[in-house]
Amino acid sequence: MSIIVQQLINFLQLGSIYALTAISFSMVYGIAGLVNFAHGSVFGVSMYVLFFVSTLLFQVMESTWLVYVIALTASCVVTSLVALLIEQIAYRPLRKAPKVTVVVSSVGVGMVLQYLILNTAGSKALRMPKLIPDIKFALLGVNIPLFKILIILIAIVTMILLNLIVKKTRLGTAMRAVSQDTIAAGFMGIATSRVISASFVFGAVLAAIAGSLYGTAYSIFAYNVGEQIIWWSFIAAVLGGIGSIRGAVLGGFIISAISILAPMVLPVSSYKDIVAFAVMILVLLIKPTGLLGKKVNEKI
Amino acid sequence: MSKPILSLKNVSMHFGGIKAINDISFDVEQGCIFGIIGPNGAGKTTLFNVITGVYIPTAGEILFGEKQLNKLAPHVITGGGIARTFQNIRLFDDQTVLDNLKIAHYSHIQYGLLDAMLTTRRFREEEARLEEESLEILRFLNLEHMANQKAGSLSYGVQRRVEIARALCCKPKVILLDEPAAGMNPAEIDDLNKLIIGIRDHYQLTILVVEHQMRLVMGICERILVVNFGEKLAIGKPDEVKADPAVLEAYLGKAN
Amino acid sequence: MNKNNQSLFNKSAAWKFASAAAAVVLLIMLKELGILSTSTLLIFQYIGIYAIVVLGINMVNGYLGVFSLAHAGFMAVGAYTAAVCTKFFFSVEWMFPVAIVAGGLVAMLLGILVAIPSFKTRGDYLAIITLGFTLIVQSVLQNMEFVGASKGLNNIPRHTNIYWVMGCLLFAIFVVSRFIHSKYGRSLKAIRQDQVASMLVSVDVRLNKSIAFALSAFLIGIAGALIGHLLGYTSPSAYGFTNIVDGLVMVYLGGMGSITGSIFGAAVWQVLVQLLKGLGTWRWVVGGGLLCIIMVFRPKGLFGYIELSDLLKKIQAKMKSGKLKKGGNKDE
Repeated sequence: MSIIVQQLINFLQLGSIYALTAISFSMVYGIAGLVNFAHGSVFGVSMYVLFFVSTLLFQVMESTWLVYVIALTASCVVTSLVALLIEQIAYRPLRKAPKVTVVVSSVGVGMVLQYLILNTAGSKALRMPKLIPDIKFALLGVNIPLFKILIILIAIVTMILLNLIVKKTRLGTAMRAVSQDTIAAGFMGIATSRVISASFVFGAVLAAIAGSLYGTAYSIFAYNVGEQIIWWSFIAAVLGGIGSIRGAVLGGFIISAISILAPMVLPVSSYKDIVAFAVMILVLLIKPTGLLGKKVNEKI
Repeated sequence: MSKPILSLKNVSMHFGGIKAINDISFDVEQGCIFGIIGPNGAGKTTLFNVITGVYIPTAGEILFGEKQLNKLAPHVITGGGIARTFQNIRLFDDQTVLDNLKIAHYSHIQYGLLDAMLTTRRFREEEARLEEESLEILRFLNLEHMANQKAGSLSYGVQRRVEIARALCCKPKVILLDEPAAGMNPAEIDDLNKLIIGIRDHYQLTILVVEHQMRLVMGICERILVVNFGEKLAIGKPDEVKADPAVLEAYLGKAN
Repeated sequence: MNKNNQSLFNKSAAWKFASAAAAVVLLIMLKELGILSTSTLLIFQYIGIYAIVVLGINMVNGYLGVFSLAHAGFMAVGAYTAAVCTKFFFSVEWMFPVAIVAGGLVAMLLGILVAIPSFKTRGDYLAIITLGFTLIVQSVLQNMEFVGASKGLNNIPRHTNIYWVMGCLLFAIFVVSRFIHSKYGRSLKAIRQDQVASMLVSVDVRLNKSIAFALSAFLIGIAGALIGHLLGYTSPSAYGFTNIVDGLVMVYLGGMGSITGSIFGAAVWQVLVQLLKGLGTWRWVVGGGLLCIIMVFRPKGLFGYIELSDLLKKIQAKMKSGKLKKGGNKDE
């Protein structure tokens, strides 16, 4: 019983993190139409900012909450700036170019960022300071650390807020319009280029929040942290249907379930990659746009 | 009369709740020029897509001679004798007219990978043959001087003719023309009419043509199918169709 | 007139190959005369091997126009298969070609497998699927004790030399140039531009995609076999994201869908890598940055869909027309 509850909490925690990263990746895809291979490195940047700022702050103050809020804000700001900078330099000049060109450019940017991190922060693994007080409480006879619950809550709140922004605000409406038809949205007087830039900022902020949660949950990370996590959220997003926020959440939780269940049955734990990948391929072969992706009918 | 070369039996094509084609049946006789008309969105192009295997019909049967086409892949159907053109021209723009035509020979080229690697005699003969055949088709359509021009750089009218030439390279028995006269003036349509009859006679084809231009439809079609909202409205000779009250209603509105 | 064109074009293809062969002969002569130092010779070997890789990548990413990131996976499979052959089964040198071909063939089988998702799924998804393939290959190799797990294989006999490399490169150039001038190559170009229209002019899209992936994987697998036997070791970490980016840089630097471009891209990047050796890990920053710069300023690469012979022809034609203007109707 207690194992089941523990695993359930683990599943929800991991699922929340995957869901958030998958959304952050999927949003950019939905609006800018770009498979952003640099996103993993953006995620990595957010972790490092969080690490450095919180480590510095802990030397002068003690309130973990305050540190968490300040460090997260700093990380959001820096990550957004980095994302905007990338967008300006490597993507914006290519607005009218074929999609593949931008994708290749994003691969290049990802590489640059990742190795900038490596060259400035070093290659050895770091330990994220404890950003959430180490409190445990009993639930159904199991001791559950507070941070696990908080991670799930923060993720849920973030998703609800995002949903509100997309559904209720002017910017959100514009985003939905651009994601459906960029050209038509332009004709309707929407500044599509600015909306696309905004989507990169949103993606970066979501990645930063997810990064803070990931750091809290797993604490150890290195320069290539983004590679792993983003790979998983790629799969999650594709599984659910890229561009669909609900799909990303669904995909995130499916991947989380796989990565918790698979090691119980498989001899080598890293084969869970293969299971998740196989599930994705299977879904794509049956439903080429993912579980909740919209079907595109080409006019002939 | 002789057996129909192409026949549709109770064919339906539904997309979710939308009935793009609903229970349509008709026969096309060999050597016939068969017109399909109807208002925009009536399901005419969908009919072509179903025949050429782009869509698998939700119900019904499509027969090409004795062969059932329902579940065959587009390239098999095209290679097997039903070629088509497109409403919104789909040439390979970056390539020359001649290369566009060479691509369409694919299904009946008789060499394999090894022949290509070793430049065998068969490879050379086949390449020479398909070049010669392509040029002959271009000659027939008066396009020979365009052979080495990029397809994308040609005028709209010429592109439409290149599409017909490319379809002919598949060596079809039946050819489907999707709005070949779109945007043409009466004089150009008269030329096109002559051309269509010309290729029918020269290559012994059966031609299905979707068209809005009545000058073409009434000028050359021997039988006409009228569709509206995915349903068959009428079928018959041009004069019969013209007088059909249901057709008049669909086109002109209710008489009283 | 067009008969003429045909033979002319055949001649130019043969001429192209002959000039490549001549360059190789010259290179080997220089080596035999002892003019080239060992380190220069090594660079030439790298160039040759990566030129094969780039030709392979170009098959799919260039001619077929499908954005694939599977090349690092194919290369790993080729390297490991060949290394296992020579290390565990036959280490005599004259059996080396068997190992090379084995590496190519195993990679080819996986290539056909990777082609399957490309039938239906959209381009964006395929980038992710092929990246997944590469990462899966890496992860499987990391878990196989039989091939040294994450430490990889050491003490692979160093069979690779300039003759093998250049021989394989000539083979690759020959195969690719024959391929693209056949109905298969034409079909790839057609599919690249309009898959639906290709189907509807009777092109078997699935078959041609499979062939393109198979050939691509075969060539890259061969290159993998060569690199393993050049370095004497191979490990999973060599075939990750950095290897993918390296391949992309060379393809886009040289040019999409061009044999000349493939060789050029491989040559420039390998020389650059040697010059940048002092930079250590900064070299990846340079590589990634270069990729962006190419994309922004010349997205099809320097020789995008053009061959050197096309360029020469153009220049020739220009000079001719210039002469005609100057000299009146002399030629007529």
